[in-house]
Amino acid sequence: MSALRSLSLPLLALALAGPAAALTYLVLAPGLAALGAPAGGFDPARMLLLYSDLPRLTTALVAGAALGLSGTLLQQVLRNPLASPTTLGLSAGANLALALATLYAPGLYMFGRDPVALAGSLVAGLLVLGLSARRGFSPITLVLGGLVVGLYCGALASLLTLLNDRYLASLFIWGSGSLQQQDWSVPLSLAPRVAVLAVIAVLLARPLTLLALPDENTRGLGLNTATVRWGGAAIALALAAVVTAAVGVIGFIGLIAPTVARIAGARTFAARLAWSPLIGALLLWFTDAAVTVLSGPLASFVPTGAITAVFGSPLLFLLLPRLRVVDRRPPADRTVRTVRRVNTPLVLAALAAGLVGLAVAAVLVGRATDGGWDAVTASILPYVLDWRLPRVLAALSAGAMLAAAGVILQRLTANDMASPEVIGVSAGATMGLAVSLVLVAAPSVAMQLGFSFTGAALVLALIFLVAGRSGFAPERIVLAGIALNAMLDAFVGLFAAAGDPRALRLLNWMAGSTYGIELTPALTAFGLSVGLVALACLTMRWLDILPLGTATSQSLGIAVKRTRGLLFTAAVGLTAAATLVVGPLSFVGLMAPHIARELGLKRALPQLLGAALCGAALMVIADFIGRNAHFPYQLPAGLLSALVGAPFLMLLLLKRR
Amino acid sequence: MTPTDLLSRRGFLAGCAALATAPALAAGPGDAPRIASLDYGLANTAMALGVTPVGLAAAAHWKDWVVEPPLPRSVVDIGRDREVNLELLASLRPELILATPYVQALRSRLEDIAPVLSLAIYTPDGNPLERSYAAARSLGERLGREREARQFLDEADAFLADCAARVARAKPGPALLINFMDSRHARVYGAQGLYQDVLDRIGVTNAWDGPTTYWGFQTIGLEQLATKAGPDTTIIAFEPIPGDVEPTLAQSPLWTQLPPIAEGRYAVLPSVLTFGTVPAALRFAQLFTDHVDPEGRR
Repeated sequence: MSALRSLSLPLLALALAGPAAALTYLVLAPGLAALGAPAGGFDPARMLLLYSDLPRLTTALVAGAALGLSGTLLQQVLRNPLASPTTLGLSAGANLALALATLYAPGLYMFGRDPVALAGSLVAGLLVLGLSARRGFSPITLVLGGLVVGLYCGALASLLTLLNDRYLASLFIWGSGSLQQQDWSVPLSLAPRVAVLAVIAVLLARPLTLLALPDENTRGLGLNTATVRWGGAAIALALAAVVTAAVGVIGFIGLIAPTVARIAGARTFAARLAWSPLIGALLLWFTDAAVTVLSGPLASFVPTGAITAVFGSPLLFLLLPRLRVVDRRPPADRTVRTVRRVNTPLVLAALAAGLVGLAVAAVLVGRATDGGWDAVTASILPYVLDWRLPRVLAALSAGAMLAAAGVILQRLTANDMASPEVIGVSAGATMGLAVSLVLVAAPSVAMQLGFSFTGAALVLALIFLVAGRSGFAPERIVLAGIALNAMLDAFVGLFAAAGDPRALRLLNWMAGSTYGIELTPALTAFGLSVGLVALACLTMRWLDILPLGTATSQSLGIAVKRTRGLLFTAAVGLTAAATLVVGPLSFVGLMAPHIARELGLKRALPQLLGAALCGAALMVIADFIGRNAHFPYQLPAGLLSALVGAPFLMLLLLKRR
Repeated sequence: MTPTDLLSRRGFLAGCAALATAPALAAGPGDAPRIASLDYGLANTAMALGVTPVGLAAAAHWKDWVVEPPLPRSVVDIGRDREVNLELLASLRPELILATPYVQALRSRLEDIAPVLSLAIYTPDGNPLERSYAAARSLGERLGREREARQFLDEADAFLADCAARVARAKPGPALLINFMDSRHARVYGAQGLYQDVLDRIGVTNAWDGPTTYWGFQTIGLEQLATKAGPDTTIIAFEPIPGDVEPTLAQSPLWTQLPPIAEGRYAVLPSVLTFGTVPAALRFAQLFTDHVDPEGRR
């Protein structure tokens, strides 16, 4: 990194352009030779140069520049070095909108793909901004909001894919950003759009520069900061949308380009405005040229967008230590709110009773074979117990564990947007399973378990390695988790876009279905959840104190570093066990702690217990819906809980003052 | 007469034949054994042997993927193959469940309901057509329809030989077989696939000599067809074709000037079960041969 900083910007640009040009020459050489020869008939080399290689090169340059510009604008208007079309969920929103339109309203494409993609980006962007507005657009909250929206869009897209597996490969090609071209229509429609937006951005450059100043100063200069901010954000959003509409999701270029420009010495906004698009263009050009040259020998279909994400997400990981970390204390009571006095034991008892009732009902009530509703009769009870009980138990246990992990993480990071899904351990477990699918055609259950545990453990080790140095600063761990989640997405995208039938299997697992769970593992999960939640209860004193900040905690005699390490281990254990059951995409760990707090359970121990009960209940409901809503087809509980949980959380956050 | 006609008539004959033989699974004379299938290809083969499944995974989508023969309305949809509805499956009281290694994870649950016959067609070792023949024989044995299986496979051989003879007369050039993914990408079928085995049997060269997965296809950008589409190559696309593909391609010089396209050696054929068994192979052979030799169509 320090070497990178010492490089001047022009040198950096040359360093990227040189290899890119060399690789491109390899690709273009046969076509260039053919150009010299007299034209006669259909010459593949010549036609490929004119109608595939050159449009593809142009598209890479234009899309890269657009994403670099979009990221720069977002980082400026949000005063957030981590803002980008990828981290704010803009690309994911556009992609979901395109998938929805493809499947259900192809007529919308009458006006082109742009309006659809724009609508998707806009909804995602407004959601993210809405979620973080109440926190003054703090960098962490904003990026976490982006992650939530991105995951939500991803979960919806996965569900659509599972329900329409015939379109699996098509949807994933789009989601993974392929730059392949057969004529000039894509670059010729993309370039003018990007050019117009870039001109507007340049015209806005001066007022945008002033946004870096504190609001009081800019108001003194007579600048309507809100207008400028929204204007800049709108341009950035449009840029992300038109690129997604043209070629799909090109992950992370919009984050990497401005970050690299900044590190390489572009200190002013004007400098970044000039250099980020250039670096973005060169980066995407280089990546795409490398993909083109390598995909021959690799003998498989490789979408460039998945590659930028695979290589870009670890870069974010490497950049983390460079980010300023402030020991934030929660703003002194944000709200003037009457503290409701609740009878804690009564609330907990009611929750427990409700959970038991729900679980019993979930086992006994279901769809009859003719599709109608039916309560179980004694004669078929043994069968039903055999099939339904493990699923209900597993869902219940996973929900409780995720919720407990969520309480720990939220209290630990003093950040109510944190959740087990965010720390990346679930992503690690899933990657382990993906590896087992690559290595073994039909891995046994034990083998799957082994691989996913290994993946989770590796992520844990990585978290310790990278974040341990900083005394487990919460921000770094949460953001490291984002990088891992993005890597997992990229990995799965790569796998699925190639049309590998095993991808469907991985998707099934990621969707968090309780389908395959048998009684013994379900009982094990239940025992594990009871044990781990009980252990977590022992940490309640720390959880009450740590959110007060490092200084306060130390003065109260807590070895902050070691305590945080222990708590993170507990959260990781809970998350890893739960992820094996319901997959990595569940918002239960995010919302159960909130529900518990809304119920008036404010202190650590009651919140932990309440959240565990709520989380368990939520997963039981999700699993019940999954088993019965689309009978005889099954919907995965993990995804369903995400679909129900994310909007719930958004409402919760918006409702707060 | 099409192979599907043959199949249905044979199905009828097989039913009659079952009266005489002693089927391994049928409870009484004339009764077809109650089978459920988690795989289209195996269900397709079983139907060719005269046994219609009582339950089939994703039965609702059969008409889009397999097309022929039509699935009787009596067949119950038991859900997605990887997550079949066990309660529903059990209520159908099957005597045998057909599965592939693809759904191996379900095996023990399925065995709680009925014996499972798991047959591998697509494996890293290739030869799906040969494996499909073997699967038909195994199914015949297990369903007590060995004679029907033998007869079906003999007729399949005869049909493929007939196709080969017609192809030899028509002398088509090499073929490129594709499924459009969107307006820029396609799946191309090659080595280790069922289509490849059929092309080999009927004497047609596959113009796609590039690498494929063990399911016998590769995802490509459409421009990659340019280097494989020689002066006498035919391009065959299978339905379904996404709506925006043809208008977009009409504007692409790379596509319109591709020799097979420019010279009209391009055809869209109805959907064939891509990862199918012998009936899918016969359906493909028939559609392909009828295309290159329309006069020989019967």
